[in-house]
Parts: sequence; C-alpha cells; structure tokens
Amino acid sequence: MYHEVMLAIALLDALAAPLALLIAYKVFALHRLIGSRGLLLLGLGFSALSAALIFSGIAGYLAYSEAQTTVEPEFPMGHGWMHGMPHPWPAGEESVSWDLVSYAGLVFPLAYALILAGILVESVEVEEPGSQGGVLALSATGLLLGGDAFSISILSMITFNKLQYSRLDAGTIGYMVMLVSHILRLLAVVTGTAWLIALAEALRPSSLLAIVAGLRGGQSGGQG
Amino acid sequence: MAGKAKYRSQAGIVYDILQAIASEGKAPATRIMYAARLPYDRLRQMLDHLESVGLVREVADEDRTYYTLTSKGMETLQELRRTKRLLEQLGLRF
Repeated sequence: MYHEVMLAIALLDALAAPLALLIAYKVFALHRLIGSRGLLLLGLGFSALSAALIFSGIAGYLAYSEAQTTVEPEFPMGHGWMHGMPHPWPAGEESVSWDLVSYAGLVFPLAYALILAGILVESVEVEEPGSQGGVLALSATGLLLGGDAFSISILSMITFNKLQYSRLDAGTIGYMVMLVSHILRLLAVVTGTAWLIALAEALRPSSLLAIVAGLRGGQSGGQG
Repeated sequence: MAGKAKYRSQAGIVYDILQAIASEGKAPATRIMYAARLPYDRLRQMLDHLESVGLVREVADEDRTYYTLTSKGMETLQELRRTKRLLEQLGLRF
C-alpha cells in the first residue's frame, strides 16, 4: 500500500512539473515582450521548480520500483535521522531515490528564492523608489533538512507578502500548501514518520494544481 | 496628507499604460498618467522604456505629443490580458 503511495506521488509530480514549466513559458513570453528582469527571475524560478518536481517524481518512481524488486521490510531500519527511529523513506537512507529527494531538497529552495526575487524585483514603489534583497544558505538528510528549512522561510515570506494585499485566493492557498508540505517533510524526517513524508510529497505538486484550478474561477480585466 | 507608498508590479504598470493608450487610440502623457495612476517622472521613465522595446510610439500632432501602440504593443496588451490573472495568483501586484 505504502509503495503505491510512492507511485501516486510520482504521478502527481509528473502532472505538476509540466504545469510549472507552462507557467515559466508564459512568464518568459511576457519577459520577451516587456523586458522586465523580475519576470525573468520569476520564469527561472518556475523552471527550477519544474526541475525539482521532476527529480522528486523520479525519486518517487524509483522508491516504488525498488520496493517491487527487493525484499526490504516496508520501513527499513538502522539509517534513520535519529537513533532508534525508522527511516521515513521506504527505500531507506542508502537508496538512489533518497539521494534524488535530497537533490530536489536543494533545488526547491533555489526555485522559491528565484520566485521571491522575481516578485521583489518586479515590485516598484510608485511614490518613493525602494529595494529589498535576499540571502541563500545550504546544508544527504541534513542537506534535505537545510533545504526544507530554507524553503519554509522563503515560502513564508512569499505568502506573507501576498496576504498583505490580496484576499485568500487560489494562488495564496497554493503557496500555503507548498509551505505546509515542507513543514510536514521536515517533521517527517526529524520524527521518522513514513506516512507524513508521503503526505508532504503528495501535497507539494497539489499546490500547483490549486493555483491552476483557481485560474478557472473567472476572468479579471478592465481599465485602470 | 502623505499617503502610503504603493507597490505595484512593472507588468501591472505596463498593463495600465498600454490599456490607457489602447482605449484612446492615441493618448497624451497627462491622460496616460491619470489612467495609469503614476507620477509624471515615473511615467516618463516607463514610456521611454516602452518606446525603446518597441511597444509604444511617440507621434506629434500639431503642437501636442501623443502616444500610440505599435503592433508589438497590441500583442503585449493581449498577452497581458490573458496572463494578468495568472500573474496575480503568482504574487504580482496589479
């Protein structure tokens, strides 16, 4: 059952990755017309997000395949993050799929950092010019934890920034779901809770689906 | 009477400028300024930029200067109308 969840995660990632790429394509198309650096960064952010989702999807599929071809126990022991804790990933610490999850754990914060930078650079203060900046920090499992912690802080900033001027729309909910997925994965790795990491992995691609679903809610436009 | 400084996205400002010009056909800077809710110096910067990337064209008519959209400007406005909602969802302010 648990391994089928891995397959479902791989499928969700496979669905979300092209969506992120489509968003990047649309943003790049506008950047080409307007020539704005903010849109360039935003497009790069969603391209990186797409790459991270592909890494994550391949990892989910590998975890599922490894489970099909080996006779490992459902929750491999002995290489957990904390002594005496089961490893949250079904294929275990030494698996290729866990390595891939770790790499994706680095690409996700890079993607979020680019998205945040894009939003900040794209923002202009109409009455008095101002600027803001950001910093980047990185840390196999430890790397993943560092990546998640960084993702959480960046996503909190993006969500806070968005809530300052807009109501709770699909975009805000999408960013919140991404944020919750990284918090859950951090908790899952620290506590060695297998179902929690599966839930976290499944939530992340769902956030992009939420954003896209929100676009179907209506059309805004009109004159300023 | 100092109002709060407003943050807007460059894409949002470009959208308002192009929309203002498109609704008039050809528009003087002051008309665009009010429609796009921009101070004059910021508008000048944006119009210079939009002219340099080929979205608007400056035309002289008798003693006044007007701005019109180029075909690339029309294409950009259409693209912005299509993607405005997506950009808002992503966190850009319009």
